[in-house]
Amino acid sequence: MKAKKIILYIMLLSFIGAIGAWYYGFVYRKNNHRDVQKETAIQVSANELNTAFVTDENAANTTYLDKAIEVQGTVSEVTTNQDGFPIVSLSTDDMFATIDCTLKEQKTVEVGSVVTIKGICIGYTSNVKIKDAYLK
Amino acid sequence: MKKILAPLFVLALFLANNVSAQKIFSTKTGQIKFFSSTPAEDIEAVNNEVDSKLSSTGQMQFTVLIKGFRFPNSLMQEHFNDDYMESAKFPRGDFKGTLTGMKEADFKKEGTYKVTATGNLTMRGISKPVSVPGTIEVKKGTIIVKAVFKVALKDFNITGSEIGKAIAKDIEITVNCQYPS
Repeated sequence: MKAKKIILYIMLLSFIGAIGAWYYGFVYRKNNHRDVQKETAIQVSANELNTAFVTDENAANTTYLDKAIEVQGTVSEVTTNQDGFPIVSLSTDDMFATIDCTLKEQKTVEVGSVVTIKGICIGYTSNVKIKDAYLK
Repeated sequence: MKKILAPLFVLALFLANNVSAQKIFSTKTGQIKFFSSTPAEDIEAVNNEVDSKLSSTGQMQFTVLIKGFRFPNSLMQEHFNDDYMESAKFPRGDFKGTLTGMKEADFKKEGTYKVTATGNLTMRGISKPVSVPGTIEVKKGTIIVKAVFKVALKDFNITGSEIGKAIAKDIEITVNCQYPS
């Protein structure tokens, strides 16, 4: 009788385990987009970030690419992308280079204000770009 | 002295006029989508941070950051970056080319023009010549570039066990870039 009970428990446990594994593999990992707000971010100023990419793009990619980062800077321009989300550009010491952050939320940001923006660095074209960003 | 200066002056005027006639349109927020369709599944991803420049003389350039593609399915996004595009090693893709089918003056006239862009498409460090049909719409205040074309993954040495199964061999790329004029 006891042995039967143990076998039943084992069967039940392995069944729950299998469901858990299936859920993790096929449902959770599919739909659980990384939430940058929960991640510990690298803190950097807009100017430092731009300088890092201008001086050595490969090294900067190793440090920042795909990482959660928190950029501090002065808002030089706010535009809207084709999906209707705001892009906040932070000025750097180079007058032609900005850090362009695509926000994940609708928010009004004043040009000239000093802000900290948290997001994921996607790399450098002629500007450093940050996606999935939030205002801190 | 005057005799020499007069033609020079005319020439200078002409050059200045010519230079100012060429206009460059640019955007940092162009959109590129890609779509893979197989009986097993459809995969779509969007990038809203495309840098692009277009000149009225017909030069065009697009730069796209691979990490900027967003997938509805985060697992696919991971595989796309790590296994197929190796975006840590090759963070950028670009296209540089020229446009035919549109005259410089057309950029000032409202309408939709059928054009062909010919140039080099670079991904994963590999450049391939491509010729892509599309349209350019000149509207009040905006230039809109649209194109749909297919890219064969094997042309860019993109390999993987899922290609030909869950992932199509040819991926459809949709370009929709709006430039303020």
